[in-house]
Amino acid sequence: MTPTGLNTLVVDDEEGIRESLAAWLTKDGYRVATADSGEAALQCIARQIYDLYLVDIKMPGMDGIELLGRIKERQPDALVIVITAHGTVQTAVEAMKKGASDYICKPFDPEELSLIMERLAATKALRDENTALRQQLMERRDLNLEGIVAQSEAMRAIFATIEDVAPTAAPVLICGESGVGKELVAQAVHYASDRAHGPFIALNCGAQSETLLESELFGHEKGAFTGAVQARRGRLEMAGGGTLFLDEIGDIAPKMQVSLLRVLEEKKFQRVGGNQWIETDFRLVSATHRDLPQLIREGRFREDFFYRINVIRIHLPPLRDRLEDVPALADHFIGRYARETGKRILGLTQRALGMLTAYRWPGNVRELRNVIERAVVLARGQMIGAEELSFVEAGADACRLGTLTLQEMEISHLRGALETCGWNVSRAARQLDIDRGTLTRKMKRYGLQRP
Amino acid sequence: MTPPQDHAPSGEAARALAHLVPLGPVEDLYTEVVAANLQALMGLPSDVLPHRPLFAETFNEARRQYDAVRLIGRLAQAMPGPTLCLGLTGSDIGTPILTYVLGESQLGGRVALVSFFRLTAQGPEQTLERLAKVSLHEMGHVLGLGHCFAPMCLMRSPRNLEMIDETRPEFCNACRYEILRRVRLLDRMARGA
Repeated sequence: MTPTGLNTLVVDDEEGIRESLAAWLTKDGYRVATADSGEAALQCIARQIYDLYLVDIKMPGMDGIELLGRIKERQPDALVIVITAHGTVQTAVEAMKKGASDYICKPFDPEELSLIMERLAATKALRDENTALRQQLMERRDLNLEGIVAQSEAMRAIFATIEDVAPTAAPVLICGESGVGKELVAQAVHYASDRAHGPFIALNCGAQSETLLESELFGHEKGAFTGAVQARRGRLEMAGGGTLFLDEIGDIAPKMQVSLLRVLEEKKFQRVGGNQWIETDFRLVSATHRDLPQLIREGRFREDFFYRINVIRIHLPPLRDRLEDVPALADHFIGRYARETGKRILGLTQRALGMLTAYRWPGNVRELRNVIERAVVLARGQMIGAEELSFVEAGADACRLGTLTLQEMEISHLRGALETCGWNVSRAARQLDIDRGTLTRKMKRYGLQRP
Repeated sequence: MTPPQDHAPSGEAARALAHLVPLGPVEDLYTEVVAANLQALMGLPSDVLPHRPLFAETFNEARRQYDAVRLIGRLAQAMPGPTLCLGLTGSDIGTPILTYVLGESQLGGRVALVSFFRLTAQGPEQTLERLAKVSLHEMGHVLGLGHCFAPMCLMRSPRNLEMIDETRPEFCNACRYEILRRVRLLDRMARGA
C-alpha cells in the first residue's frame, strides 16, 4: 500500500481530461492538484512547488509551452510531461528543448501512461537518492564506518549488539558522552540494516532553535513563515526508506517531542504550513549525552516519548574506561592524517604512547583525533614523540598511574612496545631489555596478539 | 474459482452491501461469478439486479466506445442510495484520457464499472477469472483503496492482461485488512448502528 506520493499538478483547460487524469493518478498514490489554465497553474506554483507537472500544450491564454518555460525558470529540476491532442514532431521537439521530461498524445494507451509514470517515479527516486548520497558524503568526510576502531571487550559487545539489532525496525537510543562516536554507531546500525540502500539522514537537535528544528524536521510549504521563500522537504521526508538519526535528542522541547511521537505512531505528518498528509517510513536512531530518566523526573522530557525511542539502548563507554582502545585508535588516526598531509609517519614513540594511554580523555575519541591531527601536522620525524603531544593536559603522564593495577600497567607497556616495533617480538624484547622468550611468555599470558 | 472465506459481516442473514447491474447483454454466469467473488474475497454480500440497457447518451461515436466516466455518472443517478453498485458490460469503454479501460470506479465513492470486452480469453474460465479480478480491483477502489505496490496483490495497477493473469485472486494482507475494515463499517452503517 506504499503510494509513490509525488506531488503532482495537472494543467488542462478541459474538465473531463483534468478530472480523469487526476482520478487515475490519485489511485496510483500521487497527491494531485489541478489547474484549468496556465495562469491558474502559476498561482498554484506560487503557493507550493510540485514534483511533477502534467501540462496540456493547447490552452487558451498561456499555452503549455510557455508554462513549461515558466516552471523551468522557477524550478529547473521539475519533471514536466507535456500533453497534447495535436501532437506534431515540431511541438514535441520544442517541448523537449525547453526541458520537458516526456511528451504524450491524448487519449493515451493505459499501458503507455503507466510506463511513463513508472519511469518518471524512478527518475525522481534516483535524483532524491543522489541528493541524499551527496549529503551523506559531505557529512561523512570526517566520520566513516572504518572509524570504529576498537579492541576492548566493551566495544566488541557493542558490535555484537549492533549486528543483532540492525536487521530489526526497532528504534535505537545511543547514550554516551560527547565525542565517543555515537553517530558512527548510528551509521553502523544503518549500514548493517535492510535499509542500508536508503538514505542516512542526520540532524543535531541541540544546535537548532525550536522553530528551526520544526522546519528542519517537518519541512515547510512556501510562505509558512517569514523567510520561507520556497517549499522545502524536511528530514522526516528525506529519510523515507532509510534511517533518521537525531543527535542530542535530550535537547528538544516537550512540544516537539509530542509532534515526533505522533509521527512515530502514525507514520505520517504535515509540513509546516501545509495541510496534506505525507506518509513516511524511516527507522529512528537517536542519541544523547544527557541522563534522560533524570530529565523525565525533572519534567523536561516526556516519559511516553522516552519509551518510544528507547526500545533498544546502546551505551557507549567513555574512552577513559576503555584505554586499551587508545593505541589502535591512535594508529588509525595517524594513518588517516599521514595520508591527508602526505607525511611519512610510522607511529608513536613509547613515551608518546604512554602519555596517550595515561590521559583521561575528557573529550573522548574526538579529542584523541584532534590531538593526533595536530601531532601529525607538527611532527618533524617519522615518529610522533612526547614533544608533539605537549599540548595534552599537563600531568597526563601521571594522572592514570593511580587508577591502574601493576598488571594493567605492564600490559599497556608491553603492547606499546610491540606496537612501536611493528609487532616484531625480537625488536620489542630488545627495546624492553628482556629476552625474547620472556616477552613471548608474557604475550601468551596476557593474550597479546598482533591485530 | 476461489474457496469461500468467512468474511461476511456477522449477524442475521447478511443484507446486500453491493448491487451488480448487468448493462446490456451479460450472461448470468458472469454476474454470478463476480457476486460470489465479492462475497468470498471482500466479504461484500451482493445482489444481482435485472439487466438494464446501456445509457445511449454516453456513447462516444468518434471512438466507437462508451465513456466510462459518464456511464458511471448515469449509473449513480439511476441507482441512488447508499448501496455500492457495480455495472458489468460487454461493450468497450474508455475515458477522456485513456483509449480504453477494463474498469473504472469512483475512488472512495459508490459506483464502479467493468467491461469484459477486452477480457475475452481462449477459454471461458480464464475470461471469468479476469472479470472477477478486475471487478474485485475496481470495488477495492470504491472502498477507498489506491493502487498497491505489493507484487501479487489484486490492488496493484493492472497494466495489461498478462499482469492480470499472473496475479493470484487475492489481496495482500494490508489491503485485505483495510477492505474488511471498510466493509464492516459499511455493514454497521447499513444496519443503522
